[in-house]
Parts: sequence; C-alpha cells; structure tokens
Amino acid sequence: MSGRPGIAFLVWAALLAVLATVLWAVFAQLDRLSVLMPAVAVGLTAAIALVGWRAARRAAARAFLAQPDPDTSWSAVLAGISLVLVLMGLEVGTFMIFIGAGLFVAAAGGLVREWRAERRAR
Amino acid sequence: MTAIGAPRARAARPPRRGLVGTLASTDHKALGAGIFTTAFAFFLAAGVLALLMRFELARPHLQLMTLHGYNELFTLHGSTMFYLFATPIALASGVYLVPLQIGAGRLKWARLALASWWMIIGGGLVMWLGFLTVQGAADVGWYSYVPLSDAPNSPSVGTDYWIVGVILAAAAAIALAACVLATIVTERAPGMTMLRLPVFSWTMVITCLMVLTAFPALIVAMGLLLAQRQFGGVYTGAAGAFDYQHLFWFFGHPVVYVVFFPFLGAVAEAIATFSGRRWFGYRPFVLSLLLFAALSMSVWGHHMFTTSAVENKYFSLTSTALLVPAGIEYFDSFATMWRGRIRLMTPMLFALGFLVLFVIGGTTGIFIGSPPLDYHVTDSYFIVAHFHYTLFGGSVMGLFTAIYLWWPKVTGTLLSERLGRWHFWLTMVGMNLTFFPMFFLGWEGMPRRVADYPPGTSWSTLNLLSSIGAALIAVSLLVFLWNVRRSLRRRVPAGPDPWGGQTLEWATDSPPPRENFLGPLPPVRSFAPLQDLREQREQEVQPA
Amino acid sequence: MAAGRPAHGRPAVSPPQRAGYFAGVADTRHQYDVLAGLYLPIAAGVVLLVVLLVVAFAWRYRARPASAGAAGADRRPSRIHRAPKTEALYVLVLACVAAFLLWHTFTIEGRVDHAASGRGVHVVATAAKWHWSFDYPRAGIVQQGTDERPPTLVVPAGRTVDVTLRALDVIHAFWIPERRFKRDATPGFVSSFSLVFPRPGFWRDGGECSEYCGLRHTWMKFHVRVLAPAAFARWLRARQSGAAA
Repeated sequence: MSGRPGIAFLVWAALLAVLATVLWAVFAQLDRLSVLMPAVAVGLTAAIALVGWRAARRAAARAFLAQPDPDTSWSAVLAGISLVLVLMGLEVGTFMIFIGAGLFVAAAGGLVREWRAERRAR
Repeated sequence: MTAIGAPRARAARPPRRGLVGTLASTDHKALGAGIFTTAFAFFLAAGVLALLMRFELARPHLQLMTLHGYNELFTLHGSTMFYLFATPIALASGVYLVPLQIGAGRLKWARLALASWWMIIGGGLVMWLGFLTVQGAADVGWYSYVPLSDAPNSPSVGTDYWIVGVILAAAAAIALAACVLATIVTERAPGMTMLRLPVFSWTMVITCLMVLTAFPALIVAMGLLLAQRQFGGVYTGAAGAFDYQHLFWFFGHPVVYVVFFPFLGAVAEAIATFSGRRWFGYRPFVLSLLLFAALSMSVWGHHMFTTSAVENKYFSLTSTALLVPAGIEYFDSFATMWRGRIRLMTPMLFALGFLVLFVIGGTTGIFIGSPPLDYHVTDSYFIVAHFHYTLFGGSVMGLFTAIYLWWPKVTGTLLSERLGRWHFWLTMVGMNLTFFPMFFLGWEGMPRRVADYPPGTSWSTLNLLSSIGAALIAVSLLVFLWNVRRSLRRRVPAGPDPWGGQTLEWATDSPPPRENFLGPLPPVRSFAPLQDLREQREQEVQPA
Repeated sequence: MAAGRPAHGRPAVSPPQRAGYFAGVADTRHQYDVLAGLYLPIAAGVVLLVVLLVVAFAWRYRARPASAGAAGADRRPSRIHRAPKTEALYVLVLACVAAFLLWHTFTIEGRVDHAASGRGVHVVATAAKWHWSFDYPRAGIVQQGTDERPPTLVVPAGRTVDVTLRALDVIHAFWIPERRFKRDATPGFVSSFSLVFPRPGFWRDGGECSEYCGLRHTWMKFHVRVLAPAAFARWLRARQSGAAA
C-alpha cells in the first residue's frame, strides 16, 4: 500500500457514509440535523482526503529537508490573545471587540512579515 | 537495552530558552510541553472542584455549600476536564510526539498551534472568570441543555463567559488537530508509508479526523446558544431543544474518543515496548481504529434514548457494535504480551491498569447502549460511574502511561520507579473506591447532579466510601507531583533509549535537539524501526 | 383470564396473562430484570476474563534473568505478529455476541415502549421548576406539588397507568427507579407511556426528576403510593369530594 494518506481518509469517509446511509434509509431518521451533520462530516473528510492526497504528493516530490521555523513567534501569541479579547468583547463590551480586532490586525501583519522573511531565507 | 549514563553524571539541561521564550516558541517540543503543562494544571483545578463535591456528598444534608455553589462546581468540573484538560492534553501529546515518531524535524503550521495554546489559556481564564461575578460561574451543567441555558432560565453573565471559553477552546482544538494531521500528511520521513506509521501516530490520525469533523458542531451549538441568549428565536420549542441536543451530542460523543485514542496509542506502545515484542496484528488494528472512530461518530443519539426524539434502535445498534473494535484492541494487547518478555516498569503497570479499568467502563457502556436498560440508569450515578471508568480508568491511566513512558525522552531524566509504583497502586485503589460504589448508587435510584440525598439509606455509606476514594486519588496525585519535582532536581540521566523503544523518537537524544534528528535516521521498514534493528541484530548473533 | 374486569370480589391483583405483563402492558421492572440478567453476567465474565489474563500473562511471561542451561532460560520473545484467521474468527464471535445482545434488546424495547390503548388510569404528569403535579383528568382531581412539598402519585396495583408527560419550562425527566423506567419531559413535546405497578406499597421519594433543571433539581421529587384497586377507587372518590391529597 502506498504512502497516500488520502486513501485512509477516504476509507473513513466511506465508513461514515455507510453508517449514515443506514440511519437514513433503514431507520428513517431524517430530521434536518441528523441528515446535515453526518453529510457534512463525510464531505469534510472527503475534502481532507483530496487536499491531503495532493499535499502528500507534493511533499514526497520535494527533497526531505528540515525546514527550520524561527524560534519564537510573538505575532502568533498576539493572534491567539487578540481572538480571546474579541470573543470576550461579545460579553464585556464593544470596546473590547475593537481592541481585540486591532491587535489581531497587528498580529496578522507580524505573521505576514515572519512568513516573508522565511521565504527569503529558504 | 538500557543506556543509563555514567553513574555520577547528571543529564545535561536542555538549551535554556527561558520561560519567556517558551511562551512564544514555535518548537513543537516546547509548545507541546507547554500545552501539556497548561492542561495538567487545569486537571488539578478541576480535580479540586471534584474533591469539594465529594466532601459535600460524603454525608447527607448540605454542609459545605449552597445548592447554587454545588451546581457551579459540577458544571465547571466537567467543562474544565473536557475542554481545558483532556482534549488539549490529548492533542498536545500529538504535537510533541508525532513529528518525532514520523522522523520529521518540525510540526507543520507551528504558529497556528502556538496561537491555539494561547486561546486555550485565554478561554480557560474567561470560563473561570465566572466565579468572580456576582451571580457566579456557569451552573447549567457541562452540556448546558436548552432551554435551561437560555437567558430567562440562566441569566447569569457567568454562563456567557462559559460559552465564550468553550468556543475558544474548541476552535483551538480544531486548529491543533489540523496542524498534527497536516504534519502526518506531509512530513513523514522517506520510507514511512501510512502503513508504517507507529501505533500512537495512527491513533492521532483518527483523533484529529474526529476533532475536525465533530468539533464544528459544538461551535455551531455554542454560537447559536450565544445568539439565543442575546436575541432569542434561535432554539424555539421542543424542536429547538432537540436540535441543540443533536448538535451538542454530535460533538459530545466523539469528544470522549478524542480524549481516549491517543492514550490507547500510548498504552499500545508501552505494552509492546515492555513485552519486547512489536504490537500484534497491526493492519487489522489500523482498520479497527478507523471503524472505532467511524462508529463513535454515529452513536450520538444514545445520549437521547429517553427523549423519544431519536431512532433508538439505530443508535443501540451502532453503540453495541463498538464492542467489536474494542475487542480487537484487547485481543491485540494480550497477543502482544503473549510469549513476550514482560518488564513491569511503571509505564507497563499503568498500561495494565488501563486494560482492567477500561474494560469495566466499556462493558457498562455496552450495558447502557441498550435502551431499556438505559431507561433506568441514564442520568443516574450509574452513568457517572461508567464514564469515569472510561475517562479516568481509560484516558487518565493511559495519560500516566504516556507520561511515565515518554518522560525520559522529554526531560532527559528518569522518574523514580518506587514513587511510580506508589502512585499506581494508590490510583488503582482510590479510583475503584471512588467510582465503583456509584454503580450501586445509580442502580438504586440516585440521580446525577444532586447536591444531597435522603439520609438513613445505604446511600450514605456508599457516598462516604466514594469520598474517601476521592481523597486517595488526591494523595496519589501528590505522590506523582512529588516524583516530578524530585526527578527534575536529581536529574538522573536517561539517555536516548532507557526502555528499549521501538519507534523513531527513541533514536535521538533525550531531550531531542531543536531539529529533532541530527544525522541520518534508522531505516524505516515497518511501524517499529528500532525493533526491526534489534531483531535483526539478535538474528545475526543467534541465528534461530 | 382476561384483564380489565372489575375487581369486586376478585383477588386484588390480576394474574398476568404472561410473565411480566399486566393487561397487555409490560411490567417494566420485570423486563429490565430479564435483560439485565443477560447483560450483567456477560459483562462480569468479560471483566473477570481480562483481569485473569492480565495477571496470568504478567506472571507467566515476566522477564526472568538469563540463567544458563535451564530450559526456557531468557527465551527470546516470540516474533509472531499476526494471526489473521484467528482474528477473523474472533471478530465473528464478537459480532455474534453483539447480534445476540441486540436481538434481546430490540425485543424487550418493543415491549417497554408500547403505549397502551388508553383503557387504564390516565395521569397527566407535569414538570415545572421545581415540582411535579399529577392530573387525573377523568376523575377531575390534581395532586399538586410545591417546591417545599412533593406530591404523591397514587396509582392502582395491577392496572395500567397511562401517563402523559409534559414540562412547562425546561427539560425535566420522570424517573421511578422501582419501575426501572424514565422519560424526558421536554417543554413543547408531549410523550406518552404506560406503566403497571404490580404490588401495593408506598415509596417515599419514589419518583425523581433526573434531568438537571436548575437550582432545586436536587429536591424535585415525588412520592409513589400504590393502592389495591378497591382502595384506589375509594381514594379517588374521597379526593373528588374534596378531601386533602
């Protein structure tokens, strides 16, 4: 069996699909969520399989080299914290949403800079 | 093949990044250890809540707290355990170990994983912030059914904070799962096909698949709940109440497998290592893992057997079918031990304890997978017993297996075997003393989420026994923490492979260097490359 | 022996037509005991087997120090790593066990879920934070509970009790542990089920709310009083003429 993870994911999607079909066709549970949620799960898995298939092929094609990451990324930390602040703002007040959104923009800028520096270093 | 260093040498300290550097590190090892430690701290916090509940329940009548206080405790206990401890620690194990096991130098999308760590910290703080508000923390139960969690029934802002905390933790989990899965897809060493992935890494594959496909339902459920509380009109009537349950349990059942599978993987690695044999029946096992996970996505209605809103027979069918892959896992465990050379070091003790305790949780799970039986015991202490046998007896025992197994790799030092044995036996006694009486309590009619019970029945004795057990569990954890502290101070060097490991992480230094592997990897011809080398060498020395 | 005949001059409890049935309605406790009697021994057996195997294997295959000459001295661990035919057979056995359990579950579930034709005593059980109330519409009386005083559900022995269950505010659940039966009460959704209570008796706190419903969920209970049919009829008449519950 080849190294394609897509196959494993497709097998899983197929299992989910079979089990969902039994729910729908044999036991006739057809409320909208019982149809939607398993269908979305199957679809998501199939999408992961497709993306994974192509990504694995591309990864296999390039030489196996450790791609070093920078040691720290404060922009990533800020991105996480700013999302916390945005969601807190839903409860605490709009001012918090603005603070969080602003910080997120700053963080995103930092991340873009880091990503560009990485591409230049490669 | 022990490789303890020179008797008086102390294990080298890892390069000092400093605490500040660790908090923002993109090195998956620092990040994994960071999330792991954060999650473990939440475990202890939630454990304190449990201890308080058990102190209250030890005797009839309310002695320690108000009804409202008790309701906050069980809500935050369950929520912290699932969202802030068990899920993050399961994913953190993958963040740390998967790149090492697959021979990779890094975790893919490490910055996303780093941001997720901070979302978990932030989400946890927001959730617990409720305790500081006037009306207190959320008291709607960890599954916060609608209409109870609706604004008219639960107006407290603590509940809103709780919802925000859950959304943050769930989003972080999805991000972490994506990172780990992406790493497995693209960063495997040459020669490591999917069917040469180590057992633990396979359990991380299905864990991540379940997080990615089931956790979105939780975010939808919580987002809609927030909208319902602000504006109303989202979950209306009985249909709305059932919709919420469908959304929640579509997430709520897979989550218990998300927090279980990585630790099943750890147990499998430990059993193989300490039996001196590779894991038995690898290919059927991989298939059974896929089936196990697929079934776990298809049983959610068994939490709704008494609602009259689901096709009980279907969910009973899928729930009972779970005994097939679970049975395979046990078959493979014993087949791996069969004719092995078993060393009862602490990781192996916890692995064997897992086998014994989880089967109690599993068989009682099959029991409640039968609707007529569930009609009696659901929402009673029988269920509390069942899921603590699977979550504590399964996941937590598996977690300690993982900790004792991989501690030398992560820290470069050894934990004390003597203290480890004390920890193990205290846990076995404490755990059974705490949770086994609950089967009887539930059978006899004690419901869940009650702060008190009628005096003058056997329930008083059973509850007292359970509370004593809880205190024993607390003592066992203190022993563990003492072991940790002692080990980090003494720094007995562990060397790269103190146990005779079988997978790639044991082929590098302890702790591993920044890039994980310096120099060429051992050849990868199976899921246990080091075991292959070992057996090949034995063949050359002693031809069979 | 047909069910439903007046009890005057007859034994207080109608003999069931078949084991575990009264007037065509399953005795839920009996059905539960039958099914649990299948599941529990199997579960206990599996647990015992696992414990025995763990102890036996940990002992039998423990690593022994290499001692020259003795038979089996530091034998090499076995290299066998697959046994497809054995595993396939084992999976088949597991599937048969699952099928066996499901067959019995489906059979008994059919009996327990069966809502009777409505010839029994009709009770409307209403759950509201944090007390129960029981309407007897045909008799025009109500057993009203309050947050401080639980009501008593009074039912005749050996006769069908058709329960209509509803909730007014949040999800509650109706649980009578002695009957081994429970149903959720969801606001906006009415569910119906039938119970029989074979023997007279009084169960203090014999009924509980088992779905967390907020602050006083701990104390949301009801008592259950089962009276012989004649006594039940007398009680009903007394209540109708205005006596206290």
